[in-house]
Amino acid sequence: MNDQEKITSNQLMAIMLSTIIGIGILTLPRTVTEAAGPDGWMLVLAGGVVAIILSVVISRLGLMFPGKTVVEYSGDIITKPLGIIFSLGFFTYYVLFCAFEARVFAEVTKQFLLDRTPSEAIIITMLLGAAYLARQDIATVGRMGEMLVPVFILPPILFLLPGIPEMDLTNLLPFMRTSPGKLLTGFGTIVTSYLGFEALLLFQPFMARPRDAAKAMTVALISIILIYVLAVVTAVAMFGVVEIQQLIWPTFAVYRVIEIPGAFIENIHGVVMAIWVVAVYTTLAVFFFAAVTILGRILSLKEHSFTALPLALLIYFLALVPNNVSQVYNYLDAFSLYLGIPFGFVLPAVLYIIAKVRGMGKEGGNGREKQAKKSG
Amino acid sequence: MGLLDRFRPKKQEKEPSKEEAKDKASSSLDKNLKYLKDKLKDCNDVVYREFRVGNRQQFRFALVYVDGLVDRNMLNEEVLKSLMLQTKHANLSPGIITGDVFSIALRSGLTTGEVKEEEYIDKSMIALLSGDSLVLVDGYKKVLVIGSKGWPSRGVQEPQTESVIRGPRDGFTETMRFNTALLRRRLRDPNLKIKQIKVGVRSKTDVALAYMDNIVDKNVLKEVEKRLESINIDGVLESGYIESFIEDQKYSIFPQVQSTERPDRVAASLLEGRVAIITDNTPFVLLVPATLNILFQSSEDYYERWFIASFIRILRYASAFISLVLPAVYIAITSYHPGLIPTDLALYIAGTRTGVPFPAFIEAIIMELTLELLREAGIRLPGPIGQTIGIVGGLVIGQAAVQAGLVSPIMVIVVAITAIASFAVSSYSVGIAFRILRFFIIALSAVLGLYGLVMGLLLTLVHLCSLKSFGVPYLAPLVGNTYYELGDALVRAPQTVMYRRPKTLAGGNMIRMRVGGAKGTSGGGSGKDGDEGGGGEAKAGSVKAGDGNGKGKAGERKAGGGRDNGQKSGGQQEGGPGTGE
Repeated sequence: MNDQEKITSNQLMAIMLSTIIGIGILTLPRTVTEAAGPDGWMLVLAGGVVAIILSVVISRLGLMFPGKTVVEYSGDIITKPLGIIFSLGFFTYYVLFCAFEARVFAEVTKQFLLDRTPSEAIIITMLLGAAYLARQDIATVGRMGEMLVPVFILPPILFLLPGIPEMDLTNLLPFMRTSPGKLLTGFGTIVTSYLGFEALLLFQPFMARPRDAAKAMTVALISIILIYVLAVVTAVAMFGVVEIQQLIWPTFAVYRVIEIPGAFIENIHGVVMAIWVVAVYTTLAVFFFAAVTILGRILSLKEHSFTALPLALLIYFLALVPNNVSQVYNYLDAFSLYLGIPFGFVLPAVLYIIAKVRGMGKEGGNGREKQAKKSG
Repeated sequence: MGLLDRFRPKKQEKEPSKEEAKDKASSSLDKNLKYLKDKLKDCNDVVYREFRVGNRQQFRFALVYVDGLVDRNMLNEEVLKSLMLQTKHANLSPGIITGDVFSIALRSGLTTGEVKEEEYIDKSMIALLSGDSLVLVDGYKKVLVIGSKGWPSRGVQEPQTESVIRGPRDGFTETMRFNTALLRRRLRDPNLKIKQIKVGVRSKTDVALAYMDNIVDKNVLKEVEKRLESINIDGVLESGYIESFIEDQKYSIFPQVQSTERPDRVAASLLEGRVAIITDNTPFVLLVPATLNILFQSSEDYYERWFIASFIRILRYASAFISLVLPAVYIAITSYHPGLIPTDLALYIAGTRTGVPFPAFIEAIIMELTLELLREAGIRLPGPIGQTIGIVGGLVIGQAAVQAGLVSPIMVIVVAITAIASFAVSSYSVGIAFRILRFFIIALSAVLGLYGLVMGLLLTLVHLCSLKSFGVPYLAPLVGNTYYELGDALVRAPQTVMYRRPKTLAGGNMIRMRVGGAKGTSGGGSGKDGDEGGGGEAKAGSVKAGDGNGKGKAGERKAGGGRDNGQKSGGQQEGGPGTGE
């Protein structure tokens, strides 16, 4: 694995952008307004800041163990058996994440694009497509991100422009009227929409310059915060706090309202759907890749690619477990709470603290130096 | 892949070239002749001419050549005549001459340019079979190999496959020597290296590696040499044989090696740090590494003004995309998402499709296959009949099928646009790759609509991302930290902006030209240009410091280059590598 081609920090940035933006953005305006009404966008901001802090922690953790992924260094930090249990949990987390991603994708696609196609067909094609990328090496994933990020970020933002007359920014008022207690309870759900950044635990050793990870992560997460805030603000401005809670996928609803003047395309939401397919694909494929990588590293396989197809089958059956959309979202909430938050936020921090307490890692000092330089 | 390994030739199977080697020439003329005659038994195109030389006819000589491969006039004039007639009057008695007759023949007897001594008779036999002639002298253990290659060959003509509006009209031919000469004419630089090896156990085809010594990426060069040396095949009849052995990913639909007939294109590529592989007996020269971006370029892009070139290049990329997705988009929209297009258009399309018995997918496949058939038929037939096929095809596709109600007129338009678009792709092999992929994407979008279409494109992209050509990502410079090269990707920026060589390809000597320096000193240049020149200078300085070769070159270039780059100030010319390196 050491002779593998490395990724640049731009590629890491692209991978993170394409990983974190996935199914979450569709429901984000609803969940934040449920939690905090018109002040929801501030929750988004706060969640993003937490994600940035955690990713900096993860990158420092990675710098302590150069050339190692979390699968190896978790064993170093919390003894081998516990490390393997941790890695297996991490693996399960990614497999389940893939399953949710595929299922939600199928539900949305059925609703907006292919109303008569069975979910099974949509899920299996999506998973096979993702498995194809998961079979490649990290550099391919990085290039893929670089190619696709502009494709799925710029057009949806541009398509918002004709919708500006429909928006009413007074919907965002009153400002700062939500009680702090309510904000705090909502925070837990919002922060999970940033899940995906913890893949840095795996990808950092593949970077040509692992030192740049923190910077790249910060830039990527700031971009994502801006995109999320934009999504929330436009949706709230367009529909208002009350109406938005009636919509399952308010972000798409925005594009149903928008009409591009003089354009050939009648319904822009179809195009946005097609672009969103790209966003979901990249998310799913990167998680899939992460799962395959973890599995390969736990089993110390030389070649990880052959585990992709059996894994696709497993994810397929997992994706079909929930019966309907509301059940999917109930399970997803439970998943975010019981697996997402621990693996994304808590455990990396715990690992970092334990490693620090045990005084491990030779490069910790340099990492701090770099951090100081950046803030100064 | 394991299954396919079985079909690969085993390495040890045949290496006759090595076991056969090193038969030394004997000192007896008769023995040598016998050796040749034994080996070349039943080769009636080999001519043996024995003659005597000297005022007393005391030295026995023999000339051996392959009839048809040699320039017979030259042999008559410069070998036979000079040896037989002119030595008659010279006094060759042992007291007067020094040295042996062999070296005298070599030094002053043969009035021809290319003469080599050869110790091994089997090696000289290979030379004989490649068009050289052998002069054997009785009593000497060496063979004289005379470069007398001269066979009927096609002259330099305009390349058929890559014609340009503006640009040189000469193209490569089947004779490798002409091809290397065409390159040398363009790059009069000692750094242009042309390294020759033989490939093919039986064909012993000459293959030359051409590269610029101080620009090429040494790792790429080493890799090319390694892969060329590992080729073990009986015959190389075209550069395509070599391509299939050196490409990175054999199971890919995309070409990872560029082939071209244009010497100007090869010269430009060498200046970018790429390696050219010139194969004898074919006008197609291979260029590595090749990226998708490079395959989309045309040499004309650099001769036209940048604005026009950029427009054409964008058009080319767009046409490739259209040729890939247009039928699929049509199918997806008509069968799954008619709501996406304006209602009037959707109704109109539905109207034209009434009475068509096939679903859009079958309709598209029928039309696309017909088109591919017509294309293939048109290529194989001689010119006039080819045109007939075109007319018949046009009628069949355009009129009859629509009138018969088998296909809708919109489908005809879609297929026609697709065909035109696919021919606008500058590289034939890339065009074909996109044409084949089109069927895959049509099938996906017929099953899964717009989602299938996007998935098809994503899978194609994953494949493209996974490809590499000699260590260079296939999608460079769109990926990787090479953003300044984007000036030569989707658009073609003005030459002055592209003052650096592509980092993905070149290995050293990164500054290609001096920009804006002269303008800056005369005070007339715009501020922006001046800035760029400054940046370039700083870079050039650092390159120079690291590269002693480049420094020497700069001085060398100054005399010659002064005229070419008259507007540039001499002082700055000294500072960094000149334009030509």
